[in-house]
This record gives sequence, structure tokens and C-alpha cells, in this order.
Amino acid sequence: MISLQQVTKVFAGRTAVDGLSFDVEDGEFCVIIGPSGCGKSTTLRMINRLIPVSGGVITIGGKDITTYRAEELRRQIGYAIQSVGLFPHMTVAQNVGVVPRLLGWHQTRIRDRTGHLLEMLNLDPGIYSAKYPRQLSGGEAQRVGVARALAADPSILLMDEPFGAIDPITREALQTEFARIQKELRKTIVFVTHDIDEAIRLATRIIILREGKLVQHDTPENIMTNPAGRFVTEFIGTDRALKRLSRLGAGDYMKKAPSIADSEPLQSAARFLLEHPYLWVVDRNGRVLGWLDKNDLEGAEPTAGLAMSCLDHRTAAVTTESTLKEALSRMVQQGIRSAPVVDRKGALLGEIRMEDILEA
Amino acid sequence: MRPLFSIEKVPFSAAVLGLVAILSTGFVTFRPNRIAIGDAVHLVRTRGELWIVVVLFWIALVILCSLRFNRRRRILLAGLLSSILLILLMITAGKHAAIITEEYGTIARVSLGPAFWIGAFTLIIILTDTWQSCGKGKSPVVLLVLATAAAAAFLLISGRFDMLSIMREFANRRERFFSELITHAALVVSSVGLSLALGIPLGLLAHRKKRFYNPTFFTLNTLQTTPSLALFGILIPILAAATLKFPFLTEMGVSGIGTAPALIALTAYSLLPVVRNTYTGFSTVDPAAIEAGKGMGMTTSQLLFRVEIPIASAVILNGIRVSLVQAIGLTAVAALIGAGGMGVFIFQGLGQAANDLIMLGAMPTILMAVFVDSFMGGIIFMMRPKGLR
Repeated sequence: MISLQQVTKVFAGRTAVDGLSFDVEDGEFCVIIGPSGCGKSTTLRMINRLIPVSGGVITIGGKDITTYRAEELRRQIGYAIQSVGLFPHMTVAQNVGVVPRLLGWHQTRIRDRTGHLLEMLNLDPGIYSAKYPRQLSGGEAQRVGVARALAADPSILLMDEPFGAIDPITREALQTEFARIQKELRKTIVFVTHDIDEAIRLATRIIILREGKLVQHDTPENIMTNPAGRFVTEFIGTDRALKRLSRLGAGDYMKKAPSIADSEPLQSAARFLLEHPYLWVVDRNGRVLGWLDKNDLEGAEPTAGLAMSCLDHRTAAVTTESTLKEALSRMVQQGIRSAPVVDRKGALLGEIRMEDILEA
Repeated sequence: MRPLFSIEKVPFSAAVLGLVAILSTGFVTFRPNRIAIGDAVHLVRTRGELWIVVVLFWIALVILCSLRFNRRRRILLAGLLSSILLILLMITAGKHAAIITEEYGTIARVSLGPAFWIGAFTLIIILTDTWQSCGKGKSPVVLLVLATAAAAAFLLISGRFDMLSIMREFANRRERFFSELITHAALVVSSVGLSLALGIPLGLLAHRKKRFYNPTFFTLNTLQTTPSLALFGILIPILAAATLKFPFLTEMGVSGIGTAPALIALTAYSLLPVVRNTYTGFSTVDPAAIEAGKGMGMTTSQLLFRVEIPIASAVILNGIRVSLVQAIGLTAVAALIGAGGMGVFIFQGLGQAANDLIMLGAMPTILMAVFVDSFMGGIIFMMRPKGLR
């Protein structure tokens, strides 16, 4: 457990953090959010002593952090930042292995750990281990940064806008993946962001800061339903209902989807369409090709092949790890009333229906 | 139809300029004795008939640089021809000198004339261009340059040039030459070594503590712009006064003239490139990398040795390279205050109006500088961390 008690930071006469107290329980994903200059990064950097406190006490597991040597403390805590800060003269594998090397791990153990982490972050170790940072895209570099923070398997992770500098699509993918990883690892995470959507999506608890003071500390649900005052209400924005959807996983709302193989004749499709308003058309590997409804049958020869509305599963489908918000956005984009849920290879697993989203 | 000609600007102009120069100005100078006024001897008047080969090869070079065919092959061929011509020029001059000395006796002097120097210069330009334009596969050019240097060295040792005036000057001072060469190298190495010991910490300090930046660079820039002659001159009275005040300095071998002031001045001049590049090198390290390293629990020295120095090393090495080349040149001036080195021959030559003696001092200085520059270039290239290439 991380505990801050009356923590204050004064920079040259200006109070950046003002009497801040909060606890982060083990396994909690705590997101600190607030407008720029609210002291969120300062707070984070005080936890691993990159910045000394001006007043108050920070404890980890009940022990005052100033009783550790600063370097010892930091090696026990993962740290990832927006600008990543990979070492340009080291390969991806060497970058990930920095802290294990500092801790004096054995070579083979470092290699195994590095490979494992790269795999976990969807970077093929065979391809990426020997690459240098300048050969990576922004999203790839960020993944390496996260892998590096996780390298020595610290129980605590401090992250300062780790997905802030990448494009929205990659950011969303990384958030999804990171949520999955966290489900598995159950780290204690303190995560700084200024993006309320990101906070609502990832956090188990959110801390809202304003001018160095704590405004609200609660679960995302409670913050959305019970915002403490106008500042929080305005900060969350008017689309609270929509934001809630980003906390709901597509996997939990998935229904069985009616489907038909594209090799089937039109007749059998017609039979199916008596029971269902529409059908998903899949190829022999189960990959979604498009969909079919009664309009598509009209005027067609009964023996003809399927004349479907085509759909690209890469742009129209969601995965079980996606959120309902993404599913809704796909539906609006494609003008369909239900979105197919597919696995990594694009095979149909089920669907998310508009009415279920409205009821969620 | 594709045009038959396509002119490669740099080597073509160099080849034409060279051809005009070797035909129109004196290739060697003939003097009845060491300090008499010389007569220019044109290439076509040189003895030994080798000049015909030179002219023919040179015309071939000009044509080659204007023909259109496989670019890489043409570039490499131009380089090869230039190397051959360079060696041929030396042999032609050496042979002419040998024949003349046989006829006129050892009093007569044959020295290299403008046609030789301009010709050799244009050939080196073509070689440099070959190096630049041959792209990635540089090994044939490296081989070519090494082979040319080896051939020249072989000819030198085998006595082909012995009758040229510059070699006659050398023969008269053989022992002195080598001892001054060693003095020269020792002065360069020790002054640059000193400037490294002082300059790298100073550059790091200027980078770490911003308030040291201005005073450091103000001092070093001022030093750098002080004319070397003046600095050497100023040091004489200062050191003389110091030895009077502190007699133990005299016991250590310090005096107003000689090695001590030379070493001080040379170290001072070598400092700026070292400090400047150390500062720049450390400044190129991404602050995010430092922040990440610190956040992961690296100590200050781990950050320095594992992150900052490896990233900064290429730039720092380049500073050392500049310092070395600069020190090699400046050491020649240090002979004026009695420190020795190749400058000894340059100033003797100036005093005696003996151009070849000046050459005897200047040529090795230039060669030393060129060699050190390319050697350091090679080292820097090989040491560059892969991720930064």
C-alpha cells in the first residue's frame, strides 16, 4: 500500500502540492487526473523520490520511503513516462533489461524475462529484440517503455501519461492491452493523465486534483454519478453516459450471432432469415465477410449465390477486449445496428446489439 | 540514342585544370647551387622520357571523366588512374633529378615546381571525390589509397627521390629530422593529453552547472582567437618571472623558452575543441533518457558511464580529432620559442631562403595531420554505437 500523508511540495515559493493525503491499496489502479499544473506529475515523482517532499510523509507498505536509498527504492518501482526515454545506443532487449542488470540478475534470466515481456506487449521478440529505438514507431517505443518498467517485476508501477504522445487509434489499442495485462498482473499502479476518458476506462480509483489539492477520490462510477461539485462535473464533461460505456467490456455483453457460410446457396439463407432479421456471412475459416438481410433476397434468383453487403472486419468488428464505447462507435460509423465480435484472426465469436448497449 | 558524353563535374574540372597546370608551368626547378635563383623546367623538358606516359595517362583521365558508362566503375577507374599518375609524377621528378645530378654534380639542385604541386593537388582532389561518390562499398578506395601510400613509401625508401633537393636537405639532417619528428609528436600527444584531462571534466561541468558555461567558453574563445605567435611570446616573460619567484620551477626544467611555454600554449589551444565537443556531446543526450534512467534507479555514475558517455562519445572523439590536427599545425610554430619540432626546419629554411628546407619541415607536418585526421575518422566510425548510426 502506498500512503501519502499531508504531502506538500513548494517550488521556489509556489505551492505545487498542498497537504495531499490519500492511500493506494495493493492491486489498485489509481489514476491521478487534473488540469495541467495541478501537481499530478509532481505527486507521482515524489513517490519514487525523483522530487523530494517539502512536507508530509510518503510510506510504501508502512515504511517511510526516505528510509530507503533513493536508487534502491526506484529499482523496486516500475517507472514509465510520456517521452519514453529509451536509451538510443541500446537494443530493445538491452533497454528492457536495464533494471534487471542493475539488480545483478543472471544473463539467461534477463534474456528469458525480456522475451516474455516483449511477447506480453505484443512485440515479437524475434523481430524486436535486436532493433534500436530509432527503428521503432511511437506506439512500439511506448510498448518497450512499458515492458522496461515491468522488467524486474516490481509490485508498484508509476506511469506519467505513458500513452499521451501517440495517435488516438494506437492509444486505444494500447489501453486495451494494458487493461488486459493489468488484469493478469494485479500491480499497484499510480497513473497520471489529463485524459478523462483514459482515466475512466482504466482506473479502479480516480483522484482528481486541482491546484495541488485533492478534489475527489473515488471509483470512476461514483465520480460519474456523484461528482463533487462543479469543477468535477465540468471536468468529466457532458457525455458522462457515453464515458461509462468505456468501462464496459464487449465480452460481457456479447450475444450469439446468427451466421451463414458464404458457400451456402441463397435458399438456405432465406430459410434463416425467417427467424432472424439479418445474418452474418462468414468464409470457411469463420472470418466475417459481410451481412445479409431480407432486402438482399428480393428479386434474386433462388439458386444464385449470396449477394451480401460487404464489411471489413478490421474496421467494423470489435474484439472481446474492446469496450462498448468502441462497439457503439463502429456501429455509428458503419450504419449497422449490431457490431460483430471477432477473435484475433477475424473469426466471428458473437455480436453486440444496439439495444443491449442502450440498456447497459 | 544515349549521349556518349556525360561530364562528372568535380573530377572533370580537376583533371582539366591539372592537365593545363602540368603542361603550362614549371614541373621542376633547376638551380646550379642550393640558394641560387632557379630556372623553371617544363614537364615536356624533363629528362627520362617518362613525361610522355604522364601526359598520355592524364589525357586518358580527362576523357574518362567525360565518358558515359557505369558510374561506379568510372569513379573507381578515375581514382585508380589518379593514384597511378600521382606515383608517376613522383618517379618523373625523381628520375629527372637523378639524371641532372649525374651531369652537373651534387652542387646542382632540382626541386619540385608549381606544375608538380598543382598536378598532385588535383589528383588528390579526384581521389577525394572517388572516396565521396563511391557510396557504401568503400573498401576498393581504402585499398587504393593504402596501395598508393605503400608505393610512395617504397619509392622513398628505395632511393628513387634521393636526388631531389628536399631529400638532399633531409640527407644532411637525417638524425635531427627524426629527433625533431619525435619532439613534434611528443608535444602534440602531451598537450592534447593534458587538454583531455582538463577539458572533459570542464565540458561536463559546463553542461551540469549552467553558471559555468559563460565564463568557461568566454575564456576559451578568447584564448582560441589569440594569435599563436602572440601567446607564445606572452608566455616567455610570464614563465621567466615565475621561475625567478619560484626557483623549484627551474629545478623541474621550466624556463621562459622551450617545452614549458609550448606545452602550456598548445594545451590552451587544444582545450576549446575538447570542451566544446564534450559540452555538445552531453547536450545531445535526450533529457527523457536521463529522467527514465534516474527513475529506474540508476546512480549518477551509472547514468554517466552507461548512458551519457556512450551517447556523447562520438562527438567528444570528434573534438579530440580537431584538437589533434590543430595541435600538429600549431606545434610547428612552437619551434620559434625553442620547443623544437618540425618548425625548426621551417624557420631555418625561412632564414636561409631555402624553400626545400621549409618543405622538409612542412610536408611531414601536413602528412601527420592528414594521417591523424583520417585515423581518428576511422576510429570514430567504428566506435559509433549502432543505434545512433
